[in-house]
Amino acid sequence: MAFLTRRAMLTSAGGGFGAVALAALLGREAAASSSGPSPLAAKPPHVAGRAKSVIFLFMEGGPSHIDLFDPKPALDRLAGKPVPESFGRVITAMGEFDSPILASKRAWKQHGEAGLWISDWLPHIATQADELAVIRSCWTNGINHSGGVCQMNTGTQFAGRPSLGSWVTYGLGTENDNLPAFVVMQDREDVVVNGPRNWGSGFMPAVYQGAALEVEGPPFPNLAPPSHVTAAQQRLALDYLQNRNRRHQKGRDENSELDARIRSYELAYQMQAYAPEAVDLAMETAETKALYGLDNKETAACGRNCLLARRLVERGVRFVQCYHGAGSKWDAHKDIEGNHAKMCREMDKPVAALLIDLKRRGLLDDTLVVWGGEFGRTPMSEKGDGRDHNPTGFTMWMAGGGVRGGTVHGTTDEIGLHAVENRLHVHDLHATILSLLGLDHKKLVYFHAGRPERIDANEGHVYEALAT
Amino acid sequence: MIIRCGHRHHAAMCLVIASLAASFAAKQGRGGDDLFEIHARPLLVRHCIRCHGETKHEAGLDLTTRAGLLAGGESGPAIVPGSPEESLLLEALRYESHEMPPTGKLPDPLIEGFAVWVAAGAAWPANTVLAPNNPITAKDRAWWCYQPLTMPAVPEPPAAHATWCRNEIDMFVIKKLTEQGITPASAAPSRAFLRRLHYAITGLPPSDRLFLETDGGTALDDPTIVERLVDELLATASYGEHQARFWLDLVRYADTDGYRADGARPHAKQYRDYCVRSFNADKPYDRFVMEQLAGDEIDPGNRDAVIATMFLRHWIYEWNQRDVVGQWQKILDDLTETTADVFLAQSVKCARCHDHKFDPLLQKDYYRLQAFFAAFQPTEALPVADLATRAAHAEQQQAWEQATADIRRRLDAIERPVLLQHATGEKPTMFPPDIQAMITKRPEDRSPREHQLAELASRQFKIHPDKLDQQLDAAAAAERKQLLEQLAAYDSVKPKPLPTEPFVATDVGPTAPGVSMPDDRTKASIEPGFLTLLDPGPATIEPLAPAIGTTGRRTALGRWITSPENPLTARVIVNRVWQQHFGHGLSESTNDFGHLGKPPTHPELLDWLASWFIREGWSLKKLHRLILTSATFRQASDRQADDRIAHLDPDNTFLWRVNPRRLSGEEITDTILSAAGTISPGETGRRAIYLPVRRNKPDPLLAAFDLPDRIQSSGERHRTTTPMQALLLANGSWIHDQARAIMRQFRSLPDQDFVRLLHQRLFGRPATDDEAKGAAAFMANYESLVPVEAIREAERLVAMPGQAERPAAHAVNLSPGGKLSVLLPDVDCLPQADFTVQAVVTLRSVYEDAKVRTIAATWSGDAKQPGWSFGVTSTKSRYQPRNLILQLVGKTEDAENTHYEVVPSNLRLELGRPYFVAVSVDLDDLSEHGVTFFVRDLGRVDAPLETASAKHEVNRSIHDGAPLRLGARSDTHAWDGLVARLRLDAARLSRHDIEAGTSHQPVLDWQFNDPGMIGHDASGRSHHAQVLVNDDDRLSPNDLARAALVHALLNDNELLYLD
Repeated sequence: MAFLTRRAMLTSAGGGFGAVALAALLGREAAASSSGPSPLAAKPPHVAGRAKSVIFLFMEGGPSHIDLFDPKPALDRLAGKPVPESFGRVITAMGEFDSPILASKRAWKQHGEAGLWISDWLPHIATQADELAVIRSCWTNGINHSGGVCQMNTGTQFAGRPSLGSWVTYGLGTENDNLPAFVVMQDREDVVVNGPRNWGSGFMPAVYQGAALEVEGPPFPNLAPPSHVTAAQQRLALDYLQNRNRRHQKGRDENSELDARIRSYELAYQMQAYAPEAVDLAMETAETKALYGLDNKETAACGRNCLLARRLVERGVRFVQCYHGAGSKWDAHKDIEGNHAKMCREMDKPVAALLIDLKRRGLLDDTLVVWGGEFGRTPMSEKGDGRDHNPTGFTMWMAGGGVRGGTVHGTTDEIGLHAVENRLHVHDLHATILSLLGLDHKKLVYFHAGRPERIDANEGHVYEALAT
Repeated sequence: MIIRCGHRHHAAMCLVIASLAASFAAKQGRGGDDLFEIHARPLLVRHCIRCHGETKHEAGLDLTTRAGLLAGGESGPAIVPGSPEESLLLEALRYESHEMPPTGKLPDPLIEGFAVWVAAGAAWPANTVLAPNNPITAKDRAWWCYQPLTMPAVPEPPAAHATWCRNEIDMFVIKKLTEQGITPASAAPSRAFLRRLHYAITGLPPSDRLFLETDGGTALDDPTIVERLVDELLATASYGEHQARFWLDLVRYADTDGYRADGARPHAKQYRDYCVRSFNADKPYDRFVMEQLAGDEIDPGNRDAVIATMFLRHWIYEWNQRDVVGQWQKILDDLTETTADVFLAQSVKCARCHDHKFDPLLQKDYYRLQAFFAAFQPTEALPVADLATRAAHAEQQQAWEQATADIRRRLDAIERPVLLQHATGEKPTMFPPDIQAMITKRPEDRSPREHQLAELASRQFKIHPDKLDQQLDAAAAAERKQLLEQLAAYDSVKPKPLPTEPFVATDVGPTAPGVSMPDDRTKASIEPGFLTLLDPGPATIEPLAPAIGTTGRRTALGRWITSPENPLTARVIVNRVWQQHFGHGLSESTNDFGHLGKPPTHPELLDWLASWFIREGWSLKKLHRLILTSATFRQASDRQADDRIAHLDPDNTFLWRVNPRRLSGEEITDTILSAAGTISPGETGRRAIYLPVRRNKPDPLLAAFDLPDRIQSSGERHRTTTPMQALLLANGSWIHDQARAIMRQFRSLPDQDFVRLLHQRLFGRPATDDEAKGAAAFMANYESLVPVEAIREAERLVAMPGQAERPAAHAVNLSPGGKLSVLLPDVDCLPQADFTVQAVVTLRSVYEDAKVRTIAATWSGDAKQPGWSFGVTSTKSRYQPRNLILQLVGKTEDAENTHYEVVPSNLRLELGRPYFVAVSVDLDDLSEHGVTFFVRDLGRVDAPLETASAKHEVNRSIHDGAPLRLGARSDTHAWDGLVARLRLDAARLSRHDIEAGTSHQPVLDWQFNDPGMIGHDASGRSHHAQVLVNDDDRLSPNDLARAALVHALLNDNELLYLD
């Protein structure tokens, strides 16, 4: 019984720290006012943009544009033959340039009022055709997954530069201090090519880097104390620490970092309280869960991420990236039929659900949804029934966030090997995404080692035709 | 692609010229030559000839002569004199066809002026070839960092501050302060200064002993004691470890490749250790630089000098990149840029594609610098032998090669195609045809560049000469055998191989491949040279002894960089050391002395220090000593800026105090490890500097505290304060574990003494009365919050969830590093042959590496000790994660060696679900049915019993008396989750037996229902488990409270910041 007595005593003494913790939870403004603005404070865009946040659905491994969004009747005609020399030679990852052309087995139909061509692998996304701006003329430099994924994220194939999400966070800050501004999810436990470097901040400070949402357990690393520390004990310890730190700060007012550090513990504590709620899918209705396919084993993982993405942008997270097929699972070097049929089944319904759900909640206008991989796939076959990497021409699409839906942009050549008309390099895609957010890619400059750096390495152009 | 940085400057310039030209043309009707000077020359020089001129002829167009304009390019003549409307160049300028210049249309008056000149007949002065305006101006030449290094006179300090000054640094500093009307800060308190000084030299906290010996630091009020302490600390090994940390940031050091696979570089750490050794030996800096750039050339017999060339190996590398030419160029670019960043603080990267827009760095200079590395050859086996040995070896080798040339040529013709055909890894045929051709050539027949590319490509596959006999057809094999015999006849004249060092660098040979600028169609060869501004001519390359076999280019570069005449090198390193101690360099931008950086605040001091540094033999230790014993460094950090200072110098550039600073990630780690007793003074090898640097997966604590990405050179770390850091320090398990370790050191002491000693250990001071009271109250409160369950033994048994078919049972809760070991010490009853293991489990997690989650094992993990282990694979397992496997170690039919094998079931367990699992082994049956696995999901009522069979090779000697252990083998490869039951039979059980629950020759049947009898044997054989509890881990509520106190103090700003 001595225990209970001590606990009772503690409860009365504990009013103090409990009150402090509550103040920390509620007192964002008070905490924020005590020293300079946080580097993540929300900033106005250069011009008013339509999109306020981005959901980037990254199909990792390289989906086949010529089997999904870019029909090529010539493939049937040329099937079994080598690529005619007139198309121009390219280096391919597996050295498959001389392999015969592989026909697409897809049935193609036009969808929506706009009549977008979408293959039978994507029946659900096809219902959203009028939301999509399909860009068939994307190209990139990286012929390998590592370089390709790195480039789609950072603009170059080579490590060391900030990710698009970091640039956006650097440019716009965040609307919610209690969650990371830039969140990354993946659908399975395999490691995304290049690992966390993809959402790293490169030469920018780490405040701009993406936070990876864990597949299981607490959403972010270190979000909960070890199991042997109870919530009450943690509050007690935090209060004790903050008291000591405030005492230490006396007479050291010139060191503004001390105040920032005290504040960072309060912010961390808030995050600990808020983040689990943000990712708690128990708050969603059965109808919503079913819409995203959470009730089906095949669609559940991608559905969960898409639904979480919606919850996060709803709460002011600036940039959400969802990897589907983490660990290059779209990489159909052989048996593209089996591979893509499965990958499409996993992704199609949840992605369509995301568009539907954002729309019915009035979030789609503010949210730019980007879909695509690091490259497309070759018209040439590999191992008889697969396709190699194709960086010289592939498809991405965008929806919501100020994008004119039901439109098709650019073309590839007759066999889908090279982008031909309205070619959009990754730099152009990045510049265009920033522009939809109201950021001028030429003005979004970070000085590093004596160089004014931009996301597009000074080479991107905004593709204006995408916007409404 | 067009680079646009700085185009605004151009635009402004254009407007000025346009208005001038227009007014000239309007006011004075000039003749042809005047029109040329007014309208044609400026436009062509400024806007055209960079791409269509001296070095580049884009679109086949040369606009530097009239003939060139008339000849035109791919589209026809550029101008038709007298007919502006027929002139393609004008069309392009008007953006009617080609849009030129691509950076933006020129202002109309300029274009129309040009049209006037064409209309007037396009006069051109005789013999005039247009040349770019000299891109390096007098203003450029006057920029501070290019001025010759001199040793300024040390200023006489004002009388009022004469006694304040302790050395020359102070005299320069006080001069500036006095000029600004600012007085220096008072001296830092002694304890704070001891910490500051100690961290500055060693990166570690002062030891308890040192606090004691210096009387809490007060002894340091005597400057002679400070000097003595500085000398002592500079002599400790910790100094070099701390210095290496800064250097490794600069040279982008890592232990992995980066890119997707992020492959390990097991030899890279030799370079790290070389740096530690070099700093500790106070190797002169000029020598240190020379070794890293050209150690193989200047001292080939010195192993350290050879290891130093790993500086040239830290670039990121992609193991399966088929664009070999692209990857090679990327590597050369990395060497060029890193060298310029690290040693010269010149931001040459901009000049890769164009002349630098702000600094006098020409694009040509970039490739002149790159030419020093043109012959660069990474190698995995560079001989370490002095010149005489190398020469003797080379002579012998040459003789042997000559004598055997024909034999080896014939051998190669037989072997190479077959070796390449059977290569493993990436196939040689995956490369573009030109690269394949290089790979196919004999190294002797390749050009130097072909050899570089072929070698780079060949890293992607492995050839297997040992298997040639099986791969060759009989005739070829026979011929080869014959040739090998002939070759062996010359073995007596073949020199013995020299000892070699891996992961280093040298040259491809004595001849370098050519270097040219990208986009230069003429491919004009660029010779090695330095920055044009400093030395416009080509570099003089002294030939080296032929036995070295290199070009000598890197030595020439090193000699230029380390020349006392080089205005950059000493300034750069002195500035870096200053930055370490004061938080910013005398020039703040330590990796960029250019116009986008900041000029030094104390140029005379920087020059004096740089000159002094060279005069003192480039000794870094002397430099540190001078700085750390100065009165400037002794200043207090807590001085408030008064109004005057706040107005004049809020950023403390004049050094009116010392800036307080946060510890680096390495220092935080080392401080905590020191407090935990993991690092002892004088002991090396355990500090954060020795943690492997994985580019794709950096250490979480270091990464959170601003470790650079180690992909490019980093001269200064960010200083961030983030909630992620707070979460890591508040919640991370590592720091909690360390807190417990520290708590245990003082476990025997009463609370009061515990608090006192803890403060002493962490802060170098006793606790104040208030702190002692606060700590006591905190511990009491914390203790009262320790939940009842945490105290009781019962925590170890939990309810087994969701068993659809069975009544709720209890399970033992196991975790890696957990407190319990459950084992059967009676080894005689364990099966010698067939056996069956059955268990009911849930799996909470798998390892992130390839370790196995063990359900039960008799194997110790030693591949030479027999036994078996039944478990589940982890994330990086080659059998894919969550695969139920059996590891068998014993003897096989035909071999006496102990054989280790993995028998995978390819049945996979989901995390967090209850399962029945079993494995049944028929040791004699080597068929596909020798091992049978069983899995049933107990969370589903109608889940089937899945089975899988596999074969094994081990068929005897699987047991030699090791105990059976539950949930771990030895103390590693531990289970994480619940185990509700474990049965072992000394027989092979059939599916029917399993389903019916029948037992044959039971050994044990452990159950976990009674907390007092964990592992009670229900088989009737009384083989009860022995349960050992790690007593040390059984923490009392008071222990927990003390650990929480330690943990709080490890988060304390007094620990994390230096005054």
